[in-house]
Amino acid sequence: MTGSGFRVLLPVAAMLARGASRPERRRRPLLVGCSALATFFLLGAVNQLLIRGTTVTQWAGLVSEEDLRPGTALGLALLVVPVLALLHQAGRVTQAARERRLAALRLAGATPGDVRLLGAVEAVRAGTAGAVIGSLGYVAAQRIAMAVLHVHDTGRYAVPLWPIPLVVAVVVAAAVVTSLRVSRRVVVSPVRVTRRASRPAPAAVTLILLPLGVLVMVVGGQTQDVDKVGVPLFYLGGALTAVGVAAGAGRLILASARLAGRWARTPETLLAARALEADPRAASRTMAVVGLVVAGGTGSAVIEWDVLQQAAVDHAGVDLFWLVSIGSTWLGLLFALLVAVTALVVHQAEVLLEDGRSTAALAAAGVPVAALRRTALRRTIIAATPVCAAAALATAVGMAAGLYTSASWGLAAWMAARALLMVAVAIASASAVTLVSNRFLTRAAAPDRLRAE
Amino acid sequence: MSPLLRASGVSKAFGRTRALRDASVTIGAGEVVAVSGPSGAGKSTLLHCLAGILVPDAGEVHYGATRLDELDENARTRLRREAFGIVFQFGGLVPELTAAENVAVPLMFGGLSRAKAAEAAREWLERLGAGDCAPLRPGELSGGQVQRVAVARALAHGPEVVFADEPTGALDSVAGEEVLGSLLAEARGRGTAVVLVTHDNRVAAYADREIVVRDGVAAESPAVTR
Ligand SMILES: Nc1ncnc2c1ncn2[C@@H]1O[C@H](COP(=O)(O)OP(=O)(O)O)[C@@H](O)[C@H]1O
Ligand SMILES: [Mg+2]
Repeated sequence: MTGSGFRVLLPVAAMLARGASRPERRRRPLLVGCSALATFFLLGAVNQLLIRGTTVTQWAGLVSEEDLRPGTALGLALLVVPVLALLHQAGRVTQAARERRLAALRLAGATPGDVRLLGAVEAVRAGTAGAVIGSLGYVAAQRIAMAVLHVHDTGRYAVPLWPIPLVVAVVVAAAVVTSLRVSRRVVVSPVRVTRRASRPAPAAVTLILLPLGVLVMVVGGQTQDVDKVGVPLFYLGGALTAVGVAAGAGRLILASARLAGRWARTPETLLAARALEADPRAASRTMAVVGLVVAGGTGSAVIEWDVLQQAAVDHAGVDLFWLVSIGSTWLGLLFALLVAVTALVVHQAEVLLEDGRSTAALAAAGVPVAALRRTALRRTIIAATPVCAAAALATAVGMAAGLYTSASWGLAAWMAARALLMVAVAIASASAVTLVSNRFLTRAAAPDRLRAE
Repeated sequence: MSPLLRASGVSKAFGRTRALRDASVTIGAGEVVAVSGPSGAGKSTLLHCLAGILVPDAGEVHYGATRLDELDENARTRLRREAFGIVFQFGGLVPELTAAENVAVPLMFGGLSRAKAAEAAREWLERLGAGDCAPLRPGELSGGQVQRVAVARALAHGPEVVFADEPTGALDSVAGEEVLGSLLAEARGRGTAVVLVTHDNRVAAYADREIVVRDGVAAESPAVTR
């Protein structure tokens, strides 16, 4: 097969793209959709960086003011993170099923390299389709928005054509890298497919970035030379904290699962805790994004406090600019949460449908499906709680101690309330996912899953 | 012997496959019955209908005075948890739980405290010669050990009937005989009925009686007096 190369590979790739099973057919639209969204946001970010000059407007400052646009660009680029997480999760779902069919190819003499190449070819197809849709969507959306808002200076704002191929290339490359990363975890021999043996548990050192980031934020906020040292340090600390949430999520989940496992009194909690203990990384991929949303929501509370205070001092209403900015932030956070929660549904489906027959065996042995549902819910709560709480706490401490030398009780209360609200919203939406994945649970518990293969 | 479990005229189809056609069988209390027949004959389907895992399309399944096929899913689930034990060809153990936890969890679902369930699980594993396996996960056990744990899980709550679907099908003959030997010794000692699906004639020889299934049709042999 290696010799005949693409002549054989391409038809096979086309066959695979058509997909044989339902989850596989669903995976392609998901890949295309994720690529389209990523392209849309990246193009928006690039667009921001290419606009020159400042126009004073009443409310569109985030786009029209020179020194605010980098922040806007960063915000848009950050929205790509949850989309990539979803892309990765979607890739994992059907990987084992795909590779099982590819095992037939391996029997026919294809090398593991050939098999990986097939995955890459599929990722290029789906990624390109999505990137083209995303680019067209962005250009069209921008045209429509400018027409509706009666923007005169359209030439200055419209995205030029030359960065579009670049962004498309970046998105397709990301899709390919994601697909290769996913298939790395699966071993295909000609006769069978196994998930690669689990990696060692996440180490405690992965937690180090979280306190370090908070420390840098605080130091940055307390520094005398605010502009040259303070602000850059503060942003560095913020970035470190965000990376720390993502990097430390697995370890936090492991610690929480061990604790829950030790103290579990109900079988539901025991099952949930042990499943997380066995593979904390799987849950951390989605919970990291949920944690980042909590961090973002808690952090924006400080700015809102500032705006509200200013409005109180001025005895005027809140500036339209701030309303738009805060509103956009909330929209962005909501979007990220939605994507994270979708990734969580996909993840739960994967867990239920891939874990062999033990769920069906439990159901056959007389464990009610309602109890299995409670198990899934507890798994979500055991994983979400520590990540969300750590993210909220780190952000609250870093922002409050960093930005305000004289922290007020009012601010502290406001931050605490917002942190709690964000944690509650995040855990509630993660739990709502469990209801959505009930269908998968019923399927996983069905007696036909008991049949020997 | 009073009939404990009685199926009459049971049929079950999957799409166009008629897996079971008008099957009638009786299982007495404490009786060990082998269900044999070629692969695809409908043995597992019959077992699942008797155990209340599947609801037949036609026919009746009586468990004592209860019409199993007329119970709703919740009632059948409770019955399976309380009165039945089930062993599959491939363990069906939860991979993330230790062997002891695998035995304890169903007991906890039955209302036992974690400490009591753990205690009982340890005792059952000892009794089946798998005491050393208690802290290990299924992935760390041999095939024979996995099946011992599965047998402990099926027996621990004191069921009236144990259903075993080719419990030794994946084992070599020595390990298979050991597992089967301890399952039957424990079951006979407690007066627990066993429905043992197998396509191995030597395994069928351990039973009091044999039901042969061919193309979805069941034929019973008369009881052997031991
Ligand atoms: N869930 C199912 N869906 C479709 N066909 C099934 C299902 N379960 C069993 N069958 C079919 O019913 C027939 C009997 O199956 P089974 O009872 O598993 O046989 P045995 O256990 O004797 O090998 C087979 O042809 C099998 O393919
Ligand atoms: Mg069978």
